[in-house]
Amino acid sequence: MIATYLSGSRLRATLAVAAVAAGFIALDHFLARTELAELKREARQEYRTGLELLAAGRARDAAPHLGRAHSLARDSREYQLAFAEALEGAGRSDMAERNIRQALERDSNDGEANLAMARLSARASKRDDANAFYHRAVYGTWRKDSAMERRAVRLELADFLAKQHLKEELLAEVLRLQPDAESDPIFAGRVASLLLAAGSPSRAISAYREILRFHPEDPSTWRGLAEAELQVGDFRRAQIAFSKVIRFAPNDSIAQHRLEFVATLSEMDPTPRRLSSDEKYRRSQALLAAVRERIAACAGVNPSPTDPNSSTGNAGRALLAARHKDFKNEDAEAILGEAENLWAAKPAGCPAQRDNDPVPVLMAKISNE
Amino acid sequence: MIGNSTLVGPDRSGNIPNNREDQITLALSFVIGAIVGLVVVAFILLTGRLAARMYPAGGAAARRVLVPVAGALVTGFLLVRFFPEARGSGIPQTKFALFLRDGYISLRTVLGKFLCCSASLASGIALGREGPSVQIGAGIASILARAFNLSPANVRNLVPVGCAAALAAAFNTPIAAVLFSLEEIMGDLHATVLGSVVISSATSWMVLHLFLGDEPLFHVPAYHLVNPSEFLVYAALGVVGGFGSVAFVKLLLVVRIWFRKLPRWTLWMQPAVGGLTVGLFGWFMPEVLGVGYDYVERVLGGDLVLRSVFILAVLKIVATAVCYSSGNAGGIFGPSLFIGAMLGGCVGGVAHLWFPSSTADAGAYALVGMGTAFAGIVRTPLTSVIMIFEMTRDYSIIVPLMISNLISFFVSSKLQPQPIYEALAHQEGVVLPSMGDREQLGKLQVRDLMQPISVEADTPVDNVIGNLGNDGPATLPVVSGGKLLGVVTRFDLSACTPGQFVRDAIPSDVPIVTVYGDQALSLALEKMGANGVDALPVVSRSDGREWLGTITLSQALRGFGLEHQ
Repeated sequence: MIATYLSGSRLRATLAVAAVAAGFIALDHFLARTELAELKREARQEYRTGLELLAAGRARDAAPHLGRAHSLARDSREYQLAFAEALEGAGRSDMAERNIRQALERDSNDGEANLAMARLSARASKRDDANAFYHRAVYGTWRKDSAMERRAVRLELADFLAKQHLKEELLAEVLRLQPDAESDPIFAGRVASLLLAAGSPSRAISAYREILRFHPEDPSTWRGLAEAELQVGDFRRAQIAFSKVIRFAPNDSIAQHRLEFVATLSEMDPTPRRLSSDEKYRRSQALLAAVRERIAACAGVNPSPTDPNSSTGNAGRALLAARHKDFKNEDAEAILGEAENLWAAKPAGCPAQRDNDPVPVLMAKISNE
Repeated sequence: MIGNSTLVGPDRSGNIPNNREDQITLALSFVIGAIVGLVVVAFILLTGRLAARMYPAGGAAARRVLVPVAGALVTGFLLVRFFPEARGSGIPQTKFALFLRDGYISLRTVLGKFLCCSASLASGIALGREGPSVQIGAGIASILARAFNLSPANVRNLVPVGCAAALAAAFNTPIAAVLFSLEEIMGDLHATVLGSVVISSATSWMVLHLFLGDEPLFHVPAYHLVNPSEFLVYAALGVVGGFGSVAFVKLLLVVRIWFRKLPRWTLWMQPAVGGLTVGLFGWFMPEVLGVGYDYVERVLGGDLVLRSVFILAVLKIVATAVCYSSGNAGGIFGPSLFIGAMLGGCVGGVAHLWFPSSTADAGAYALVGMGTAFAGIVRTPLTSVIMIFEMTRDYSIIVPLMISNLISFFVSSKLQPQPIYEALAHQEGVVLPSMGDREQLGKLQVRDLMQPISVEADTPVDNVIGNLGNDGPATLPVVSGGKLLGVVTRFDLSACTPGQFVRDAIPSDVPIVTVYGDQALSLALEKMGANGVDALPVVSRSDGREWLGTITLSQALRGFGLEHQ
């Protein structure tokens, strides 16, 4: 039936239609390929221009270029995230978030998109969101060099946690980073400083010492070690470490000041084992007086040591009693105990933070012991 | 059943043979969808890439003036010299072909439309590509139907099939394409060609996706209603959109009348006026050039400042009106969306400025504004809603879209009762069938029973008066050279003096009541009754004075199986 129908003019018409269709298929294929190539080229050009402007800190100028790159190549996650970064830099966080969310809708496990969202949330002070997105970024999918990317993200997360003073979570992340520190001294230094920020100075000390085994003249490592020793209360070692810093970096004025501070601490510290009883007692008294002075300054009064209702009443009686007794080590301990109690009972925020104030450092050491 | 054909009765063996032409029509629906899809894809790619080369972003400002003018001059010459049928947007021309010429669109028209519109749009003329695509699609369907020797009825039936295929590919909106073909082209949502229209639309859409992927026309953020009070703002947008639509339509029609009064020898140069207008605007604001979908997407994303959006809305209204009226090849669909997006962006921008916590971003209003202007200008509210949804794939804003569309449609209908395509047809001297007429198309029509009864104007009265009312009607059309001069009755003739001619008997103060051949017989009877006559002249829709025949009362009644006594 078809053969009968398709004869003569109809056959010619059918062949003509087939030829036209074939011609247009070829034409459309060529045009589509050309269009795609041109669009990709244009998008890449706009992307490069946008990145240069972004790197130069001109986010507002970069945004239109990156936006155009994104609109020309919608399937490029890279362009979209760069556009989001430019939008955020240009103060359009809503639109930035929208773009990142679109990327996440396409692939919720995408490491880069989660990282972008984490950074956005961190800057917007959305702590819980940032934390969640950082973790998703760490365990998400990364296209190239995923181990390095994950490490970098975990490091960034650790920095974030350090700023938020989330010490426990920070320590958990830093411990996961430690195995990677063995082969990279700079990375190891970062890890060690993060251990310190996480409130684990003993681990930090071990880490710093490990670095110094291979890089004994690195002043930054010695500095880190010095601070760690200071945190654990070993002022002598801290002093040695700061001296090393000055030796390898003579122009480091901060280290100089810290060395002087540590020297002051060493002179005031009543806890060293080989200290004589007299010296221990003297130092304890001085420390107690310093504690009283700090607390009184917070209260705005200068309470009499005989005032039975004052917070210093018991310490004052102990002091008086000590004048009438022979000096003993135990008395020094008692004075230190009183100082500790006073310090523990002080109002919150008292005393006000002061750089290089030896009293808080000493009291922290005494409390830890 | 596809088309208007009926099934043949069973043969002796009890088998029912299918109607061959219906099968061919069905098969052609797929072929038309595929071919039209391929052609429209080529059209889209060519216009886009050429435009990027003709006036690249960041290029010299002078180029933005010279290129549209040069392009308009070239296309103006081509249109006048070689492709006169390719002028205009394509929608009215498609309807002319469908209702006046049994669906005939020539290959030359299709080629001319393709070439001239490609050149026009690539030059930056502020018109759209969708209207021309519709005419190209309709033309391809007409050519294929005639090539396969289909009946005139099926040739007509395949024209909207081609239109749907074209729009599905041009806008990437297969559902809206079907609705538009039925709502606007055919004027009948229950048309028997629904199946073919759906097939071609789907096929064309698949072809588009094969080559250009699955991206929607516009990428928009997921907007949603922020506060119920936003409905008031969307209602206000409907009013603004309605007024904006009316302003655009009236400006276009007025400017077009002015251009039509110019001497005929200026016809090929007239498009250059449109080119110059858009070029001068484009000097300062390049966004006005071309279709401008990039900027529509930016305003949908809330990425253009309020001042720019307002200026663009005004400039585009003027530029498109002048470009179209001056005779450039191109459509108004795309510019309608642009104008609507900008108007919506203005309203939304102001609302968001005053009530930031109770309103969505300006982009949401731009999205609704697109549909609002489309509904107000093209007057297809249902198509408009579905089209915006398909373009953006954002369903969350659909209720505000419906409300705003309806208000815009209402405002526009009140201030500009005649829809734009009908008004444009009237300017051409063509009366297209109304919605009521189209609904009657399947029923008994005047042309089926009209007869060649008339009297020549130069016939002596004495020769006629004796024969009037004996066997024929008492009312006679008076013609001269095939042109209807008037209608005379026995009373009119008897009032004449001997020696006078029939033309002298035509009453000058009585309006001539006529009917068209494709109108229903029942309408002819109604008119006869209303005017107290027993015959009506039948005239052409494209020339109201061209006499085609006469329908008498007796013939009309016979059509209904009655005898006139």
